Amino acid sequence: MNKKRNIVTIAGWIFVVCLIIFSFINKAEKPPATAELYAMDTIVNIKIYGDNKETILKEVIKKIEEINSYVDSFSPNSDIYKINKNSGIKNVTVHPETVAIIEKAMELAHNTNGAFNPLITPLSQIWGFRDKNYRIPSEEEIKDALNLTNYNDIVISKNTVFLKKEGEALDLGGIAKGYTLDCLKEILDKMDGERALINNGGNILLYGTPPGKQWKIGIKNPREDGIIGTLNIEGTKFISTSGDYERFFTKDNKRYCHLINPFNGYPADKIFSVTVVSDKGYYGDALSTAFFIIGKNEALQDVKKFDVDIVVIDSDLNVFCGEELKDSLILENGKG
Amino acid sequence: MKSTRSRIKLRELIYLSILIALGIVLNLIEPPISPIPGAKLGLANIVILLALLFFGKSEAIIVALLRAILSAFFKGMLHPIPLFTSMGGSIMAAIAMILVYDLCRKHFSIVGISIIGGIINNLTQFFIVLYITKNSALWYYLPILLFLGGISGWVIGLITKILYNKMKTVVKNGS
Amino acid sequence: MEKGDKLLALILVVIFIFAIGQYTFVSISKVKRTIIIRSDGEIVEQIPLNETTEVITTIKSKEGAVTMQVKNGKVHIIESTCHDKLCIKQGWISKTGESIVCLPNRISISITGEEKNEIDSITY
Repeated sequence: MNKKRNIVTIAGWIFVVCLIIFSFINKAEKPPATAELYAMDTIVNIKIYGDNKETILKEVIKKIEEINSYVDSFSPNSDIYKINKNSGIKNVTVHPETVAIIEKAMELAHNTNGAFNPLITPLSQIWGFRDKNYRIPSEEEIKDALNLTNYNDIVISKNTVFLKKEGEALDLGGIAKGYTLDCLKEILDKMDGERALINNGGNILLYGTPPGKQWKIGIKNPREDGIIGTLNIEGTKFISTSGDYERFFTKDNKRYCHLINPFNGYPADKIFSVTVVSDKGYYGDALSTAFFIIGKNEALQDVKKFDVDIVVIDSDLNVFCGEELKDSLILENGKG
Repeated sequence: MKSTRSRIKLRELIYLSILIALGIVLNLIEPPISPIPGAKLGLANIVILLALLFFGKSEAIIVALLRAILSAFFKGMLHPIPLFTSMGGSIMAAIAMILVYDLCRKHFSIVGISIIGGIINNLTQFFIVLYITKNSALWYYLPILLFLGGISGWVIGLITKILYNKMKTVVKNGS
Repeated sequence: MEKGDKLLALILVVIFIFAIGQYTFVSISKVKRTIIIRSDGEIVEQIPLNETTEVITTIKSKEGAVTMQVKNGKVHIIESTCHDKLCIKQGWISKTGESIVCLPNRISISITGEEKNEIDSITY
C-alpha cells in the first residue's frame, strides 16, 4: 500500500517539475500593444513592442489624431480647410506644426521641380477625385486648373499661411502620412521604444530590429491578388508606395488614377507603382508621388540625388530596383 | 472561557492570513502557460484547500476572495486580461471545490477535490478568454486544457495532502 | 481512492484520448492562420483559416456592413454597403499579413499567423 502511494507521489512531483520547466521554456514572445484607427482618409495599423508599449501607443494615437485635425482638408475645423477657404483673400494663422508640414511640402516641390505639388487640388477636383464624381474634364478646365497650381504662390510668414490666388487649395495627402511617421519615430526615440511597426495607409515606419533580424515587407501587386515581392529591410526605415490601383476609375478601357501629373494636368500612367525606402518619412512619402509622376528612368536616375532606394513596377509588370535594393528584393515568382 | 474563544479566533485569523499571503506569493511566482493569457497552474488552490480542510466553507471562500483581490492589487491594472482570467478561474475553482467538499465529501479524496478544482479553473479561464478575444480557434485547445487542469489539480492535491498531514498536529491543537 | 476519484480518473483518461484524437485528425498544428475582423478599429471576430473552413458572414459597423466569404483557405468580400465597392475589387487574400479594408465602412479583414516566412506588413 505504501509503495503504491510513494510511486504516485514521486510521479506527481516529477510532473510538477516538468510542468514548471515547460512553462518557463514556453514563455512565448509577449504580444505587442496594437491599435487600428482611421485617420487622414485611410487606415492606420500600429504595433508597439517593448516594456512601455501601452504608454507609447497612447502617445502615438494622440499624435496621429492631432496631425489629422490639422491637415484634413474636408473638415471645416482643420487648418488646411481654413487656408483653402481664404485663398486669394487673406492669410490664416495656423498651428506651427501645420506650417512645418507645408514648408516640407514646398521643399520637396522645389527639389522635384514640381513633380510633387501640394497645390494639386484643383486638378484632383476636375477629375472627380475629391467628390467621387469621376469624369473626364475638358481641355479648358484642365488649363484653368493648371493655372492654380503654382506652388510659389504659397506665402508663409511666422505662423500664417496665405495662398495668393483664389481657387488655389492645399492638399497635403502626399506628404502628411510620411510626416506623421517622422513624428511617431521621434516619440519612439524619446520614450525609448524597443520596436514598432506602424502602417499608415501603406506608408510604413519600421522601428528597431525584429526577431528575425530583417523586416519583411510585401509590395502589393498592382494588378493581381497578393504581393509581387518581398523587401528585406534592416533597422529603422520608412517605406512609401504610390500606385495607380488605390483610387481610380476606368473609362473606355483606360484607367485614370488619382495621381495627377502637375505638368500636363492628366493622371500619370507611365508606371503602375513605385516604392521608396528612405530615412525620412516626409521625404519618402512625397518622393513616391514624384517618382510615380516622372516615370521609371527618371526615377532610377534620381535615386542617388535623393539618397533613397526604390522599386519600380512598370506598365508591363516588370520590376526594377535601385542598385542598393537589388539584393533585398525577393519576387513572388522566384527571381531575385 | 471567553479568552480561550477569542484566543482561538485570533489564532484562526493568523493562520488564515498566512494562508492568504502564501496564496498571493504562489500566484505571483508561478509562470504562465500559453496560449491562454493569464492561465497558470493554479498553485493558489493549495491554500484554499487547506483553509477548507482546516477551517470550513466560509473561511475557504474568504481566503479565495481575499487572495484574488490582493493579488490584483499587487499586480496592478496594467494588464487587465490575465488578471481577470486568473481571478475568475481561481474563484470558480474555489466554489466548485467547496461545493464538492460540502455535498459529497465521502466520494472524493483531497486529491480528487483538487482535480475538480484544476479542471474548473482551466475551464473558467478558457471561457473568459474566449469571450474577450472572440477567437474561435481557441476551441481546439479545450481538451488539452481540461486535461492539463486535471493533471495540475492532481499534483496540487498531492502537495496539499502532504501539507495537511504535516500541519494537522500544529493547527488543530494550537501551540 | 474513493469512488469519485476513480470516476475522475476515468474522465481524465477520456479527455486525454479526445485530445490526442483531435490533435491527430483536426491537427491543431495546421491552424496556423487566423482571420481577424475589426469593425471601427475593434476586433469583433476571429476565425481560424485552413483549407476546410467555409464561412459566409456579415460584419456590421457604425457606418455600414460587409459580407465576407471564406473558402479554400482564402477570404474575400462579396457584398458591401459602401459606394465604391473598392473592397470587393480587392479580391481574395490568403497569406499572413494581407488584408482587405473597406474604408467607408471602417471594416478591416486581415490574416495573421505563426509561419516563419510571414511578412510583417504590406506597403501599397
